[in-house]
Amino acid sequence: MWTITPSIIENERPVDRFALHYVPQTHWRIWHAIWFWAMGIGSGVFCLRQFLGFSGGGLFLGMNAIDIVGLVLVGIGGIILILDLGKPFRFLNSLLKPKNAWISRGAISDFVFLGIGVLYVLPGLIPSLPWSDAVFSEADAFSRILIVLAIFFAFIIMIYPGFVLYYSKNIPFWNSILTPVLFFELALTSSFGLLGLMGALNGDYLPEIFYISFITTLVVTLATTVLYIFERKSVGNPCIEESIRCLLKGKAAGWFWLSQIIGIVVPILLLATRSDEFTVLLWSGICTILGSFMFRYSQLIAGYRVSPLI
Amino acid sequence: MANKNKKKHWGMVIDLTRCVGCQTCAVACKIKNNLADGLWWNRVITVGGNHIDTAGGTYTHPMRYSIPLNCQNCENPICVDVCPTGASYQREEDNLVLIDYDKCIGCRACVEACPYGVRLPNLKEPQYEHYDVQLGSDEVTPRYQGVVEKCTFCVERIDQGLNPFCIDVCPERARYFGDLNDEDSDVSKLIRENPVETLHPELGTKPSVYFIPPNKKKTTRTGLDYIK
Repeated sequence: MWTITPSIIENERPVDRFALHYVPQTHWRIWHAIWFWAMGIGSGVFCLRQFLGFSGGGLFLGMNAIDIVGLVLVGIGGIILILDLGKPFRFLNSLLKPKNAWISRGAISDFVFLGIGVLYVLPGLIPSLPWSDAVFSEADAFSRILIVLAIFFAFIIMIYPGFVLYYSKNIPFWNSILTPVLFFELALTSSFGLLGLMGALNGDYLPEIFYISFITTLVVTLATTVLYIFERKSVGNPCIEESIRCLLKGKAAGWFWLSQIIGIVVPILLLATRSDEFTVLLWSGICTILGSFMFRYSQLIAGYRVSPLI
Repeated sequence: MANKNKKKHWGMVIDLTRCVGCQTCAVACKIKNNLADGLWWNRVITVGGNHIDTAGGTYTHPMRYSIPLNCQNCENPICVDVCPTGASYQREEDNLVLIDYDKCIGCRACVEACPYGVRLPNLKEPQYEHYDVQLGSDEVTPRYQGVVEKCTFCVERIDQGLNPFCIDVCPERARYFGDLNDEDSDVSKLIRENPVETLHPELGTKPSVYFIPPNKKKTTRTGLDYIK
């Protein structure tokens, strides 16, 4: 019955809704990209500092500046998410259905992570509090509980936008299990970048494991991106092919290729050469932070709506 | 008798051999539900050409048919699953997929999730460029900014024992409505007698709107046969 291939239009007019077209989604654009990016990097950098046992990065009002930046970024992501709602003042309603909805799981995780995160960093500001804000390996029992809980919710924050896209059946380009994997990896790469950047600016020594993990994460992210595109192409859905065309050659191409070159390739080269550590960390940090945003934005732009018929 | 005890499952059958793409159902829906500019809960999509009401194909093989597209009221609605607030829900007594506008936060997750593209965010203050009087029936919820909307199968009319408005206004008698759980209903008969199809069956959403594809109708019954 449905043997017609819809035409493709870039800018939908109201009248176009009455003919069979593939059209790019327009509801989730730059604000969503900023939301995904800010939450990913904010939660990621908090986890990374704990995993690397990194105590540097400087202090802000006595609290670790990396943790503060992480919490602030998650908070900014949350505020953007709330402001982007059609009914911002009803945002608490978004906590009501964690059983099914990833947005709900994510929103709960945001709030809990922020709560636990603030509790964890507070001893820096109020030293009389009976727990410490040291990294996991040096922390007391209560702080360790806080860290483990914060990492658990931070992990959900890193992956949940990917799952939100994965379940968006109107946009088949996103319906790959590699989408949340990519979101997790992008959160990690930008977190490595931010941690390295803050470490460099503070004049800290970063252990060798940092550089090895950073390069490995970048290489894995690059490989996952290639795999994601091939996996989506293999589905054989013309709407997905249109999305891939948009990503590689169309409107999203500039953002996508910049994200790969600036966000992945350049940092890999910089980290591999390691000529001057400060310069390497500074530029690889800036590049991965920007690249992480660009990739998410390009993925949103390339989201073409499936035809209701095909 | 057993059927009478089953809960209702409202469904539609749309006979594409009869639909002429006149847009009456789309316009009637828009007026009846007082939809703001740019919002159409019910569209009649032209299949064939690149524009509304244009033929496509190639010389000697031109083609054009129309498909009315409204909410498919799926049995397994993805839009309900992704809704973080519970604003999108399935009514227990008849599986109708509805939106509680007082709970909706306008996150548009359902818009991106619906594979039929029939959910529309009403992000701007509703505007009515061409008329300055309130249209729509009294029972219809007023339209307001910031929430997602969609076809409700005219739930307030169903609750009064009436058909959805698009069914009653269709001049070609191309649309049929009834209880899919009632074997004697028009829709059940049409589904039994014709090679009906649903949209995107591979997604497992189980739409409640069935289409009789063009040129595949087997029955010799006419629309008049279904008028009670």
